[in-house]
Amino acid sequence: MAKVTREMVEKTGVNVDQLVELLIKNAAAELTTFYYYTILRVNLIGLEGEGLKEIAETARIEDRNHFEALVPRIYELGGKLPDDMKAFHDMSACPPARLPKDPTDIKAMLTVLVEAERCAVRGYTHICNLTAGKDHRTYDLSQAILNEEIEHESWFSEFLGEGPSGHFLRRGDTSPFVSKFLR
Amino acid sequence: MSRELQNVEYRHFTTQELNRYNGINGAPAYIAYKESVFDVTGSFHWQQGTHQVLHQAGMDLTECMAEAPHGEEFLEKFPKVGTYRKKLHKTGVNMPDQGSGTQKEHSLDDRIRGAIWGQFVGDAFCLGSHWIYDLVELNQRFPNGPQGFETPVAGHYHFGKRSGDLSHYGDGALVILQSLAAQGSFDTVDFGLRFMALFDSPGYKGYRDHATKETIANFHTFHDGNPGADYTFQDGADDDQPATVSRLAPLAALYFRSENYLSVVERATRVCQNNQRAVAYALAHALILRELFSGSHLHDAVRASGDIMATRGAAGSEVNEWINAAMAATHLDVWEATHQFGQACPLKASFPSALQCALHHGGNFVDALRANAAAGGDNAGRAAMIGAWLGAGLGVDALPLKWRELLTAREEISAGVERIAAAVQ
Repeated sequence: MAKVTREMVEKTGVNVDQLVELLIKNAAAELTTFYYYTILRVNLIGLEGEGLKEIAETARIEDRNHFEALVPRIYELGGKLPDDMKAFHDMSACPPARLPKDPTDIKAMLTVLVEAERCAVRGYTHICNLTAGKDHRTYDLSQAILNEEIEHESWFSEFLGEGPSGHFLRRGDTSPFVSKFLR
Repeated sequence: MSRELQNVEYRHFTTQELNRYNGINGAPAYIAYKESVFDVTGSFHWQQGTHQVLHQAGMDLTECMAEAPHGEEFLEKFPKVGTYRKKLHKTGVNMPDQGSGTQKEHSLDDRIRGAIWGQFVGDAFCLGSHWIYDLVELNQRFPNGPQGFETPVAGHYHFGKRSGDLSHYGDGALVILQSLAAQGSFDTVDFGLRFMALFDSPGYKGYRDHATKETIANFHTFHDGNPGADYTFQDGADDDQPATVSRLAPLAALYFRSENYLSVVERATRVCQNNQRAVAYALAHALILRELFSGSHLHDAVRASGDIMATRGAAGSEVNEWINAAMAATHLDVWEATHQFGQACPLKASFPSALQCALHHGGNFVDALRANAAAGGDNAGRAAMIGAWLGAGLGVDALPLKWRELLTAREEISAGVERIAAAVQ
């Protein structure tokens, strides 16, 4: 734990224990999403599925990066990951992004993907709101993750026919916003 | 407003009552928002009654919405189970309501009609989609999910029946309804003889399940060995499937206030199911209906039933364990929970599956039947239970009138319902 770091946050009035629990729940959501997206990605096959595979893969890798980026902040603030992987899965901030009953139903696949991203967008918006102007480092991290989650939502939303995303696929490295926390 | 919010059972909650629904240790999770109470038990985001670390169920969260990263439209998908109002103290400070709430309850007559009609509608709803276990096959046959009352196609177990007909479960249920209506009470022999007259007749073209065939065989074995002797009809099949639970609603309505209630349920069970497990599940089903007829909310009724069953030996403990499992699984989709508990007929699978569906869709009869039908397997057996519970909890008007009118046997059912309802008053 970074003792002074935690003290500084506590002095702003943030309930650090609650904040840490939120970060752990969101870290659980990222890692479980990485896992479930792996299954979704391998099932994105055929003429329609192949078109989605690349963005699903990018979102999958970036969600894993989000997990990696969140873990140090959890420990800095005095938290820790659960010893039990199953307990970690079950405390996720978002529902499991499970494979739809019919994996060939591309709309159902997209719905799972976009709902997972929307849950993440709400979650990080919430953390940003809690920490803005108070816990600068958690805010910076959450905002970086939020930027990427918003882009993920946009990609999938566009495929669902909800309108243009205004974005283009990554050109080059993944995690343009979060990568500074991974170095 | 969503359809789910239009089909609701209202009750008034005091602060003390609301606080009890905190989602902890299996308790349902309710939250108040702008004077309405919502059941969020089934939500992944409210596991153990906590939402995003910061919010606890059993509380009025109206003031928290302004800072939430979502709007009040998120509440529309949850059943609205009642009202809540803080009293405005003369100082202008909101004070908790201390009680004497004006609970708007469905009348007993409404609940009884709902339970009996619900049981029959549930059964008939699943006729054409019954016993299809493979969900891929189910999806191929019904691309938008079973919509209910489909005519069975060639090769189906119920082929020959048509839309609006009852399955063999419903046929048996109609027998006991007519026996109760004619006798004004439960007469084991009258029911048994009527049962034999229908199912042992070569004219019966419906499906005969294990409980039916073995009950008929036991009847004949007795008479072959004891010519002219009276048969008590307490030697039904050694069977632990939904035969009895799919027909209990009218008997429960007639006897739920009787001190002999459970012994009558046991006798009714042993007519076709002389099996301890079948008796235990029938008792649990009957106890839930008793609580619902008495005005309890479904969650409370299920909990009360489980508590009593836990004291009734090994079979009762098993039932209670499955009740607990179903209550802990209300956040799952119905098809997912049904696959976990089992799609098949045995009551240790079908009972918790039905219970999970009823709890998950506790405020909406239509959605519950559709979700159950789409989960495949013995959806008709489960639907008879779900229909009875939700009909008893939500009242007869929660059932679409059109669905009742679709039933081929609606006139016979209606006559029986009127007799039972009149006898209960």
